[in-house]
Amino acid sequence: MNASNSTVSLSPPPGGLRLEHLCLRYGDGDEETVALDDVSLVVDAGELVAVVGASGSGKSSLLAVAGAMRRPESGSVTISRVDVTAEPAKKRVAIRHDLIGFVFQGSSLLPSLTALEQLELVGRIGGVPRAATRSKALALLDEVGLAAKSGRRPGQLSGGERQRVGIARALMADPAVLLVDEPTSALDHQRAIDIVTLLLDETRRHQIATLMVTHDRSAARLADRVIEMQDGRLIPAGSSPAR
Amino acid sequence: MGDRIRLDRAGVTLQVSGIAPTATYGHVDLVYASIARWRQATYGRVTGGALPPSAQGLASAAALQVRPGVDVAAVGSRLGADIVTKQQAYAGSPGYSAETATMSLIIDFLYVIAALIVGAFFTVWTIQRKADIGLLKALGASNGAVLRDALGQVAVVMIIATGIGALVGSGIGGLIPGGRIPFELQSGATVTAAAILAVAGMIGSLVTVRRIAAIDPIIALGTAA
Repeated sequence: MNASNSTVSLSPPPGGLRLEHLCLRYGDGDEETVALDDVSLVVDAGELVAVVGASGSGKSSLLAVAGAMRRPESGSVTISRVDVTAEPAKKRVAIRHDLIGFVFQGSSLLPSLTALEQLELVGRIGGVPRAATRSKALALLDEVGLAAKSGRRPGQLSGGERQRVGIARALMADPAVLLVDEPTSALDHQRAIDIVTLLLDETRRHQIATLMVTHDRSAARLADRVIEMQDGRLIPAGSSPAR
Repeated sequence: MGDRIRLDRAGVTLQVSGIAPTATYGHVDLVYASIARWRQATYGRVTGGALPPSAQGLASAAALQVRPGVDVAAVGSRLGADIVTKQQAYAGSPGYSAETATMSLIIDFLYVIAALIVGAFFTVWTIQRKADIGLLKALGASNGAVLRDALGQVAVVMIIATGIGALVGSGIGGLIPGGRIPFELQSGATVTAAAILAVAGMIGSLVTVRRIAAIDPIIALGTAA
């Protein structure tokens, strides 16, 4: 377990995700909230790291910064040796598509699109013609066990199936990093275990650095490492805050 | 045909010799008559039917057809008359300018209202799709791509909607019986109006551009805390 700012190993991964001394605050003066307080973490390619913590502990802010949606006040995010935080806003949009895969809470699928179209959309965003992405999309749906349901819309899929489509979609652009936001929040225990197991399998198969935030500690235990987040700081799970 | 119409106050009797196509002047039915009859009906009534000598040769207006290149102003000066174009003559008829100005104002306001309604519609549409747009941005879609996509959809909706509107309008217009109601729907004007409506709608939809551009991809993550 090498998670907190004091204990984490910061050797640069060839692929993978590296967060260094991230600080982020919201508001100002008396209303100021410290979302990230000197957060450092390395997730290697092929590794699944789970971050657990209560609501408001800073998990979503961690994903927002790691996912190039928020620029931290200080610190850096490096993905496959690209310093994301140093890039201009336009470049960070491209980085989100090219280097990062997102799995959102509740899967966040577009209701009007079929499972196959959800995946093809990622190709379309990247300017790739639909015909060129179809075989890859079908292969990924097969990988997550949904080849037979590629023509179904989200309303025709169960919660677990929707989350599987979300995982397949996140893999469409061959990301270096997978950022996963509460993937089991709407699932029963067994399906939650299945989803995290699938995430672990895909992490290994595609050699992605996967960072998953969750409040589901039993599902998180399947991860390679579990780190706790408290008041914007990372601490190894089970230990008391570093300060 | 053959009926006699007596204009009592002028002391003039007219015999119907033919029925002309429906035409009005200032919303009053028209009678075509000789200039002598017209003078009798117009100036004769003061003296109870007899035409005074001063009314000889009078006319309120005369139509002038000239060859191209003729100096119309010089002709007018020589005749001692004000010369106006046909359109200006129409505009000078009773109530014409006031009516056309009112109608033009109504039509112009309709275009403005169409733009406002379409703008409001697509604002609501954008609000309802906020989560989807945030998701697209989170997946790496640029503001430009999302805007192109949204405005492209607006264009498709506007073209289809105005096309259907024009067809329905033309269909209903075709049901209006001719003759009694002065109604005419010209295809050119209908197509122009539909095109202006579509463009006005597109302009109205631009109010959503800022709103779409301002959507933060972080909403795809749920609560950021």
